Amino acid sequence: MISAPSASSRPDDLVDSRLVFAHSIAALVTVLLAIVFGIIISLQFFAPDIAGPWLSSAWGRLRYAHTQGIMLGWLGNAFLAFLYHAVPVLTGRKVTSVLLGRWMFGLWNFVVVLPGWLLVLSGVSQPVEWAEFPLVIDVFVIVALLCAAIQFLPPFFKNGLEELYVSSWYIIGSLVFTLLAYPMGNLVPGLVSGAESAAFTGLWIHDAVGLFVTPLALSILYFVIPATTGRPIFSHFLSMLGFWGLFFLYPLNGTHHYVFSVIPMAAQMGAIIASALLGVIVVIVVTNLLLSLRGSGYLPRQTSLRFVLLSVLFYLVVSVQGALQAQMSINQVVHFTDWVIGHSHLAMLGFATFAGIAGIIHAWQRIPFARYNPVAVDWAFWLLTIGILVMVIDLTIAGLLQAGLWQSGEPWFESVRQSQPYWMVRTLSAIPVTAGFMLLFYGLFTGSKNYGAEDVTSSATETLNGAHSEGPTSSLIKMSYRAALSAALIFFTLSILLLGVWPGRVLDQQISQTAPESFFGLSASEQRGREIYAREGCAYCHTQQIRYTAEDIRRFGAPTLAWEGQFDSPHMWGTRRIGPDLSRAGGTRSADWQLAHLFDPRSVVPWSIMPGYPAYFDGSANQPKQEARDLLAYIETLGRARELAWPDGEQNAGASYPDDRWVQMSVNAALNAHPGRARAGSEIPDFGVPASNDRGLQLWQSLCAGCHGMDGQGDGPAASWLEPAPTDLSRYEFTEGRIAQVLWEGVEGTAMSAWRQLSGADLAALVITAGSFHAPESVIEPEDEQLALGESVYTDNCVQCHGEQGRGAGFAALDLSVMPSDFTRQKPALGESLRVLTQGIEGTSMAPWNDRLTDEEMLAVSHYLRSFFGGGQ
Amino acid sequence: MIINVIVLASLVLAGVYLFLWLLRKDVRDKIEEPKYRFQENVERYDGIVHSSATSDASHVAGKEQGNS
Repeated sequence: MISAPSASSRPDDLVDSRLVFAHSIAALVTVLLAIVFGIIISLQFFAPDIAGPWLSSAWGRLRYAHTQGIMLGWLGNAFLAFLYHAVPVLTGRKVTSVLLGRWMFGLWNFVVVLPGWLLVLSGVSQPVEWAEFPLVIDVFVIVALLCAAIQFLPPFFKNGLEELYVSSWYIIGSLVFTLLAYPMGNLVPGLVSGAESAAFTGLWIHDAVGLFVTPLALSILYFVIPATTGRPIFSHFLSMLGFWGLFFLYPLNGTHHYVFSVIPMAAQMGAIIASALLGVIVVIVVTNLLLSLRGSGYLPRQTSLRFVLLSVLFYLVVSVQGALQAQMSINQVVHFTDWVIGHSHLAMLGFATFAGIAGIIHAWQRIPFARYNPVAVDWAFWLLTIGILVMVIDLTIAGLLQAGLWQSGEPWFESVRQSQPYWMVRTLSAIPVTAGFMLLFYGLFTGSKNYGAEDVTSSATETLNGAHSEGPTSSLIKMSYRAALSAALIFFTLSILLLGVWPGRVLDQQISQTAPESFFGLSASEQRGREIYAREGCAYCHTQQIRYTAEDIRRFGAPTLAWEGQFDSPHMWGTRRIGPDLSRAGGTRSADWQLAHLFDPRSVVPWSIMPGYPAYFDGSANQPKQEARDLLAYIETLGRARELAWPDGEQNAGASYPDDRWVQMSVNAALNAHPGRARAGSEIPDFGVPASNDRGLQLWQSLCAGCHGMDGQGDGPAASWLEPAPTDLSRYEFTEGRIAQVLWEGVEGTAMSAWRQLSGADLAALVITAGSFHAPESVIEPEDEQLALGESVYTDNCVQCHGEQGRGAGFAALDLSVMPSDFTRQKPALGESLRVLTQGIEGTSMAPWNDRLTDEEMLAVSHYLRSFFGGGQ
Repeated sequence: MIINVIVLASLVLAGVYLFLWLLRKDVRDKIEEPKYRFQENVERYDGIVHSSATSDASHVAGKEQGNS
């Protein structure tokens, strides 16, 4: 207990204000930098090139820096600032060592946060969410957490357990459990692979929030409310019920990040049940906090209490939201959408940040040498509130929109296109958030030095409502607390065993029974490509897990089996889809398309918001450096193993688990449902009534113009990088059937992908649009002798590939990477035909013939092959 | 599944805790005591802050008076 104030007593006798001051400043500096990273990456969602080529390419790295900066830089420092004030006040004892505190400050900011940022920005990172800093930094984080335990825990243990106030419990719990959870979440995913790696990541994502952020935020709320209102909290009993409930249940939630995945369903169901119960516990916690705030009004007078009130409300909403979105019916719809991004911003930037600010303000007001400007801080409150609300509401609506579009089967680009206004609003919401933090910064450095102390006194003079229970120390309470503490530790250990280790064993067994006997690992180039994919944060936008849902199966193909990721360490399953899932990306696009896409994504996909990576090329998409080749090689491995194992692999897997609904679902689905994958010989449906001409033109501009050009002349931005070059549609006359076939099947061996994801009406409209580019030409009809010569030349030289009837079905055709032209369905302009005969077509087997045929022969055969059009001579 | 056992165990522990709290006043009082102790600590500390700030202000005022 703190000794009674005397004339000689000073605040610094107990609390080291310099450490509170230093960590508060570090918190505000790091949050502003983390927000700058966030703004740069959010801008690229609707203006992908706005940041310039270098910064655009750093999107993934900035994303790493953003999340780690918020968690470790901002919240870590804010919590430490609060702890240096709160622990001495809670215990009546100083922290272990001021010198250790100074070392810890340096360690946290100049060995962890700053170098961590520099490393991830320079490409040294690990692709594990909320654990992106590389292993070398993790080691120092663990050292820092150990130091924090040494610094803050001893003062608590000098008093009895039954004496501990709820904030103390949360602080102890957080320090102990974060120290246990951090190595598990940051080191283990790199030691195991695939689904098992994901299971540990799921645990960590939730433990980072549930065992580090939430307990410390709640310790602040339980501290600041009574300290500011001058009244004890409503019920210490309820607060402890909430505390134990949270520590029992939070660790069990982790797998709800991977619902509908290959992780054993029993683990998923357990996490879902725990999530629902956690929602109930949070309602108890929030009720107690709101009752503790009673009498403060809907808008408390003290700004710190305003932050507390909003933090409590945000906590309620985010927790109920979390419990709901873990439920399978909701998870199936909103998972991978911006709903989840809104949820995480509400947790970290709403609930935790508002609590962190309340803690800083409370501690700051009690620093003897610190200034405090209440007007600026009040403005900061309003700006931050507006910013967070706009951001979360906006992202939630965007998430629902994306979910609806994905469910409806609309082409992927529609979700990107229609999300853009929402992404713009999200960026705009950063303006009040940034201004709020800047004003908070300003408010802590201007104004009166004694304002805080005056404010403290005015609130503390309110009536103390309650009396001491002077009864003897109850051994029962002690025993129950000890039992609960032991149970929490046991439950935490069990959570790792049940949601991490046990699923791993089950998955190992499944892998051993379903994996093909021989399994190609990654070559050196492919492995390097994987490292590039990881360091650039590709997994933030492209998942590599097809879930066991009808929607995923329809759009992407067979759900991911455990053995597919058995060498992926750490896994790159991802938790958000801006772009499509890439589990089966290998072989879906031509190499030149992939390189053009990496070099300049919008050249081939106009609505893409993917960053380009021109640094991996020597100035042009067809001059890739080794990095681009490696990345391409890695992309080509995605789904390769399962395709190579097909069909025996599928049959064996199905036979090994005849009664397993999920395995059966996977092996019975079409292996690769990528709608863009070229597929010859399929049945082409009737597209029906076409959409309007305007729609056709809009689709052309959105989907086709990158390669074929706005006027269909094969001169789009990407055209010069593709082999064979995109067809100049003005130089050919196509039958509608041929255009429909190309749109439905794509053209194997070329960059022309299929467009099966479009509706029939859209496809029919595109058929009309593509056909409209043909420019009719006036050709002098050939004489019979010329046609006879052409037939002779054709028979001698062309029939092997193009076939006797010009259908592109000669006996050699099947051996060619690109099928020869079918002249019955496409008629080249005479000039185009002569050009092809003279120059050949690069990227195909069509060689130049001008060294073997005379000009007369080439003209004759050009006339002759045109005569095939329409099905006969 | 053992996770369900854990969830049930949590509920049972919470139930026992609630039961004790309802049945025994001494337990109830003891559980609630830390919030009052905390309130005292906070008020004492804030008292130190306030008195320190007041004495600093009067010290500064005295110095200013002496200077004038």
